[in-house]
Amino acid sequence: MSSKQKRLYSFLSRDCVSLAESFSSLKRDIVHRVVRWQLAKQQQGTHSTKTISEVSGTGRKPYQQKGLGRARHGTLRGPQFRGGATMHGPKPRSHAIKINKKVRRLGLKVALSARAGEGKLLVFEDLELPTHKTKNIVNFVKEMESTKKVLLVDGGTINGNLKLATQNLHYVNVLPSIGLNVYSILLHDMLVMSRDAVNRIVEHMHTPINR
Amino acid sequence: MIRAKLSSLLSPHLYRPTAPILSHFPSPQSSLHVSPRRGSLVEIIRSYSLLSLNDLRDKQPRKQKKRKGRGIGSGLGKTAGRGHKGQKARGTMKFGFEGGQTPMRRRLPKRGFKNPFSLTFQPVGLGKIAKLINAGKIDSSELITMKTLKDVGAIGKQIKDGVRLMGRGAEQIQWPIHFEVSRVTVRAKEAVEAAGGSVRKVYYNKLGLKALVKPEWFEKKGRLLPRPARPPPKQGDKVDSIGRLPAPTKPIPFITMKKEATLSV
Repeated sequence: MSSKQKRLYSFLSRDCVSLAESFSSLKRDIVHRVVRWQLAKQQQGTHSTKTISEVSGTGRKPYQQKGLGRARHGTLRGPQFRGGATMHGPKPRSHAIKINKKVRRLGLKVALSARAGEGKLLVFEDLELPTHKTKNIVNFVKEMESTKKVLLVDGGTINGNLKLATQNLHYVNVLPSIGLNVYSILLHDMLVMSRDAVNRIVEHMHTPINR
Repeated sequence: MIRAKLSSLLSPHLYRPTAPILSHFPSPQSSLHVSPRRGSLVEIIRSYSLLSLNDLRDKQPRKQKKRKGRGIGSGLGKTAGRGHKGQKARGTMKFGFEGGQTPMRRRLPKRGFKNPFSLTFQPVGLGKIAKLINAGKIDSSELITMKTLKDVGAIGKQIKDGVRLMGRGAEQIQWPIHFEVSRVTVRAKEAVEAAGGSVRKVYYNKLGLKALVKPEWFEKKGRLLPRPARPPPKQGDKVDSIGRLPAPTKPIPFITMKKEATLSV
């Protein structure tokens, strides 16, 4: 077990940013930006209001300008009226922001090295289960102390037993290795990966980013 | 159960082969379990994580928007920063209009012209070069060209028309160094020659500079490096020789006889 983990650390330390064990050397601002980018692109942006041209109703002047003793109005659908328009209200738009691909990659490296540096990164040979019983996973998580959420990362497609066993647990989530992202890493305390997943991620990190 | 996990099921603690980092823990209220196991390996299990979603901030705090016309307390209520009455408060005035008085941009005289043939050279002080040699980034046994200066970072990212060697920090040059740059100042040249080195002013046109500094651009495009151009007549006196492509490594020695002052490659 420990030898397997030792191999992991030599593996990852080649590619991750130096395993940060003190607070100051972690690039928190990069991780902040990547998380903000992820959450912003998730936003649906389907908020909408009606401007004065869209509010239904006529544009006729309601009554004459002078002589009635009432305030002067040109339309009954202005922003001050009940049932009127909204000035400068929200319109459907995309909230996505742009972040350089290299910054995104660096954020992933920082998140992985943070988890590895505090010892919350485990690598197994593979994540195959003999049965689909949830009980086994529950026991596995229970015997780890100070872990509330676990993220299991497998290589290609997730096998059926793993999916079924973790389906009903809200504190265990499974991702294929392509789906590994900074927000998920930060959301879960413990990261459990299979060797295949680690290999794929390392290979992905080494492929150059082309224009 | 997951394979190869039995050993950890048996042991009450999980192994963490990180080095003991007790000294790095900043806050006293974190509960820390240290269990020495098998003598040499000390494992630490944190109760809070190094990086979590509630502990992220960017380097630059975000600026608040100015919301005008939203009450007294905001400082921008009622008149919303426009003062009282007048055309400016009720609409917009053309920028630069001074109420009919001749505006400043018409009161002041025009001056000069823009010379399309002027050349700008990036200055580098000898002190900076000495510092880089001491740091080990420049090899002083080889010829120092404008390419080495740019690669090392002595002039920044842009070379406009070349590099000018200036004299700030000239007393730090104590060894013979050989340069090939566009221009030199008088004192810088004296300082370098007093130490036993040499400075040769070379001419490169824009294309030549690109070929000197970025030969891989030509390779990527599948073109050969261009032939170095000779200087136009007006610049003939200001330079010693034509630049060489690709970047040279050995300096051409000056011949002190009056017959040949310049050598062609």
